[in-house]
Amino acid sequence: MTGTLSGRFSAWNCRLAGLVVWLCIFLALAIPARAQVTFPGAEPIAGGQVAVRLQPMLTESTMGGQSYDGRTILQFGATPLLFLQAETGLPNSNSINDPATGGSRSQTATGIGDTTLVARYTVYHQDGIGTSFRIAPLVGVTTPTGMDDANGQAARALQPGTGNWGTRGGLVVQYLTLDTTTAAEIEYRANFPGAGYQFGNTFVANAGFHYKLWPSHFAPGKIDQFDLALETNYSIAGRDLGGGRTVPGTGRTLWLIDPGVMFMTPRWAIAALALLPIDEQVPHGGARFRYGAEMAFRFNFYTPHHF
Amino acid sequence: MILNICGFRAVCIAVALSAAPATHAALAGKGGREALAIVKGVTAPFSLYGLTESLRQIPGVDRVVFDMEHGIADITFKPGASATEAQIRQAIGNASFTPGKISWKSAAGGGQ
Repeated sequence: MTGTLSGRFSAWNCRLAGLVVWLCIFLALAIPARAQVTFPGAEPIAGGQVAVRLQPMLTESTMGGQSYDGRTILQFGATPLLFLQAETGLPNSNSINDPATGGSRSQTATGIGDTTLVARYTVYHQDGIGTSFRIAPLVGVTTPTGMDDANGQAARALQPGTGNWGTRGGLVVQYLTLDTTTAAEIEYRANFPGAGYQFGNTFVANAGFHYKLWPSHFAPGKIDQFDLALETNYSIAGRDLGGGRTVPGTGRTLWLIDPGVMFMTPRWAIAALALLPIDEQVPHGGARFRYGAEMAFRFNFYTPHHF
Repeated sequence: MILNICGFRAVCIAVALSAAPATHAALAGKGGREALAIVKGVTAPFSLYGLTESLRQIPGVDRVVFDMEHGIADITFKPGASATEAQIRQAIGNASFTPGKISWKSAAGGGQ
């Protein structure tokens, strides 16, 4: 009986997962999109434009798990179509109740996270008055610059750095109008073994819709904007390998929905989103995602020096 | 009178400018030439920053004001300064947007 229910539950999750993937593909192909918060967009970045993003994320999971990811992102428009990004965790901190002590003691690892370098190239854009449709593939590499032994007593998965080299490849499609932004992204992240451990590869599918709540119309020279945002993130993470064996409690499927708000000016922007789980599958012994919050602060600069 | 206007381009500019006549008249600079450039693809304030900064790199540009609703960059030059259409188009392209019709008028509001 339990097996039947489990099978039904699993089949239902598979249908949901399939629905999300197909929704993303549909959005990517049919509804081409403004800057998203929880995933990269394909918005225009001028050659010479520099943006600094501070994007702290706080999440809470079962087993007393708490995680703070203080992502700091530097973006540069190398050319009108080529966009470069460096991202690191400053700092990252993860903690969870130690199962070995029956949960009575907490383990925490705090330090600098890995650095990820990403290049995005706009391969197609069709612009109109107040509209833009853009397609941009992206590739990236994760360098093991983070601290993978910040706390020698804590589990490897808690460390702020992975100790793994990694690569990623993805595709972003965006359709932007003066009132709405629709975006979709799919991405695959592969990790390579390092320091005796290998984090599982991850497939990610994201979609987002932003709606301009204010102003109803832009007056010339008056261009501040307030958006309502709704984004969603679906990820399938493979199990970690440690010492040549799969690590218990690792690997999961997670689907989040992220309602929030964003305020933008030409020079800066601020956003806040809640991260709420819709569905999750975790192996026995794994912590379940409960909720989270993500904020984003962006500042624009410009340099005439670019390619 | 506006230079380089013919056919469909003339209609675009006429429609765009007639939609906001008072605002554009008010935005006219004092003493310098003024270019009105259609820019396609601008939808949000944050990406607009790169466009205005790119246009400001053109020598002699005094001020850039953008009308989001109509996609018009109002570029005012310092007295005695000017630029070519190619320079303006290049600046718009450098900002990752698509340039459209460009028209000129003098400080007094008349074309040349």
